[in-house]
Amino acid sequence: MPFGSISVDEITSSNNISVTGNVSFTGNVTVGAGTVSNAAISTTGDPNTGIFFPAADNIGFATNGVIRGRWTTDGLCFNADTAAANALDDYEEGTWTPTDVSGAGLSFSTAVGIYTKIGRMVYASTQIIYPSTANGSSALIGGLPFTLPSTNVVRQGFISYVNASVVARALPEDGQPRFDIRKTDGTNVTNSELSGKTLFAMLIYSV
Amino acid sequence: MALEKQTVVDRIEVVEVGVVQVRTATRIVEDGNVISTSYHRHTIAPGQDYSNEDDRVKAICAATHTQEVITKYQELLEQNSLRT
Repeated sequence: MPFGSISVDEITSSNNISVTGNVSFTGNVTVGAGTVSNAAISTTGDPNTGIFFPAADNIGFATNGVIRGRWTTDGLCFNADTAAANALDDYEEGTWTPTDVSGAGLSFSTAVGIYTKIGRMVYASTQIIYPSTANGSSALIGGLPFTLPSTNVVRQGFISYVNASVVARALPEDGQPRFDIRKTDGTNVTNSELSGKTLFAMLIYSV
Repeated sequence: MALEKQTVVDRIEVVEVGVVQVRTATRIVEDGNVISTSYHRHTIAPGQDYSNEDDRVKAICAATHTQEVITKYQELLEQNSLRT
């Protein structure tokens, strides 16, 4: 006997309830934990693909009876891994503005930057055009979106293009939101060596 | 349909060496619903002027950037300047 619409306060049944058509709830829905091969929430005819709850505070995702990942209190763990250290716990993208922190008080004619942070890895890129300057201080650029830890072995940078006469690399500095520019012999590139030059840099570091 | 642009400091973080990291969120709000958000980040090192910052950022900097923190940060800068 079909019902057009029913409204009840509570249904209790020890047997299965089957509904043809859509079901909507204004309250919460509580389901069993399920298993990797019999998901708590799945589509008809495919019970080993869906969402299940392998432990307290865990939400698991399975396909074909295999766990592909889970959300834990540490973040997103892939496959069957549950290690906190391996959990992906952050993703963010945005912009940042490089500034001269060499002490020369330079104003870059162009200074733009973007960043993407995935877990603890930061990928920050920038385009800078130096003003005309004869200042001999070491070039030093601040404004990085995230500060490096005081001891950080994962800090690399490269300059994809600089129309200066020096071959150089960018080096994020420990404990600071800034980077300098070093020649291949390790010495610093000066502001005057970058006078009027265009600089594209990519910084990669962990936080 | 009312569109509104909101700019707010939505995250203030203090890291180990005393640098204050500030995230500014720019949101486009339509009839009360956020339909777009973008972020901009900047940092304030110990000893750096923060007088033009958001009031909450000023308060954090004032509490964090003590003379001791500023001195240690300067020492760190000097250590780094000696490295190649």
